[in-house]
Amino acid sequence: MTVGAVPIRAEQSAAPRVHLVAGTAGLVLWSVFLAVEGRGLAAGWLGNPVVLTAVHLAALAWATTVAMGAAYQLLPVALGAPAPLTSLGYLSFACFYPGSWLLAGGFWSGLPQLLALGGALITVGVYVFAAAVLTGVAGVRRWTPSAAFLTAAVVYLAGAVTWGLTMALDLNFGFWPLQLSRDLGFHLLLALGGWFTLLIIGVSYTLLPMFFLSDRAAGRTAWSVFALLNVGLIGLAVAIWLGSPAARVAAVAVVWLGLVLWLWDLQAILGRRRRRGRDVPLRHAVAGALAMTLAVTWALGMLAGLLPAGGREVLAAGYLFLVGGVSSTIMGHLYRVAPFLIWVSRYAPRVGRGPVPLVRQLLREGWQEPAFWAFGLGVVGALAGLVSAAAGLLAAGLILQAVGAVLFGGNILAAFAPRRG
Amino acid sequence: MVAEQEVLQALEQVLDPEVGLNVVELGLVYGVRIDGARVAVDLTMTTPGCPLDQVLTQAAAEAVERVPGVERAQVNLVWDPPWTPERLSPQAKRKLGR
Repeated sequence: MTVGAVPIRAEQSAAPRVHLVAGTAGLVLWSVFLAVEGRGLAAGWLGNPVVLTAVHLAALAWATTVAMGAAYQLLPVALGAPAPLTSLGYLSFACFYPGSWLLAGGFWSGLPQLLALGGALITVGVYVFAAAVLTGVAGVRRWTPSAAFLTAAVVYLAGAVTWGLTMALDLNFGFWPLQLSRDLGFHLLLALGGWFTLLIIGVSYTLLPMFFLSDRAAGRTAWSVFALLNVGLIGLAVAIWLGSPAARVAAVAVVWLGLVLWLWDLQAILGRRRRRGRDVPLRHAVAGALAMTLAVTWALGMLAGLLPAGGREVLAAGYLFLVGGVSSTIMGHLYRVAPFLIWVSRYAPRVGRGPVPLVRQLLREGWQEPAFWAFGLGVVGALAGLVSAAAGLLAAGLILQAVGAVLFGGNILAAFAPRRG
Repeated sequence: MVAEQEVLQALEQVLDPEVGLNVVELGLVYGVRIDGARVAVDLTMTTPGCPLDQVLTQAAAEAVERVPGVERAQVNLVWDPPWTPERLSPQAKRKLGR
């Protein structure tokens, strides 16, 4: 296949690709860490170094790193505005990624100095990233739901890392009247509820209609989802501050309603797609959306006193949200975004000089199916093991999940590897 | 005299590498104007801000300039009306629906 006759110069920054490679490596290393140290999850979640290390590696070194890389490249599509200052991508990465590992090392070793250093680097990296995104936002002429979701998500991310750094510094200098349940509640709300949830929904409203050629685009329903989620999250922050259990239930119910409405909108968008297949990236996105909504339903049931809310259950619901929901969704999108970026950087300059492959041909399709099933069944097994306190089932689930992550990561990283010719 | 059909046939060689369909069957070609040996093509993308816009517009220009009798091709990137999947050709819909 050839297109055109004259070489085209693709002036693409390497910063997005650096993020995607490092983030994918983060997924593999985090999954292997959890498979090796997973027995430590049985000790509960509060103050457990295994949980704290794994959660921060998953949230930062994997999911946020990849999200930042994709944002540097795809924000013009999502915002309908000029590209953000991609040159800032190197600076934000140089601070954020090493900071993520230092922070994880701090949780693992129990050294508060490492927590403060890692947290400070992460915060600087996020502020630089936010500044780059806001330069793109400044050029938005017509606000779309995706633009609103992604802008709000970045604001929540900046809040989450600022709050996290405050807690880390307090461990060193003791200047803050720390109330663990309140302050941890704010941190989780900003990170999981604000950053990841709004990010994933905003990205779904951009990428799914685009990649699957849907007749239905984000519209009024998406704005309703945006309003419900933000009202629910702000209400939850107030409820946590006031220490009111009833207000917490009401606020999480509003968030849950927003997620259910998003699911309905998502099925309408995908139901009207022109690319009819149910490929692995699509299944990852759907499974991720279902897992996120199920996790919030579970949390709502626990807060309302309808379901057991012990340490194991809380940990399992968080695992379902972060691993089954956030990670699965990002893996699905990465199957499309990573080869696309590789194609643009590697083959766009060759167009017209010889045959170039299609984007999907850059990945090993045969690896995607086993990776999907290993990861998904691993998550289900680990969840069952956590809830039932079955150590063997938990270990088997985490090992299977790691196998899926390694297959997935190997596929993505192999596509990024330099090739001759 | 260059015929519009020849121009469209040349544009069928320009593939969207993500979808795997050419720009004509994707419905991205909004218009062709022929003025002697000069050809102007109005081309859109499936989404604004598409990272492939430079690649596809230049590839389209080069493809049209290979048509005998064409001395200069100009490809204009247009956004109005916005592309929707309704613009897919019946052949493209069949291919995507498999």
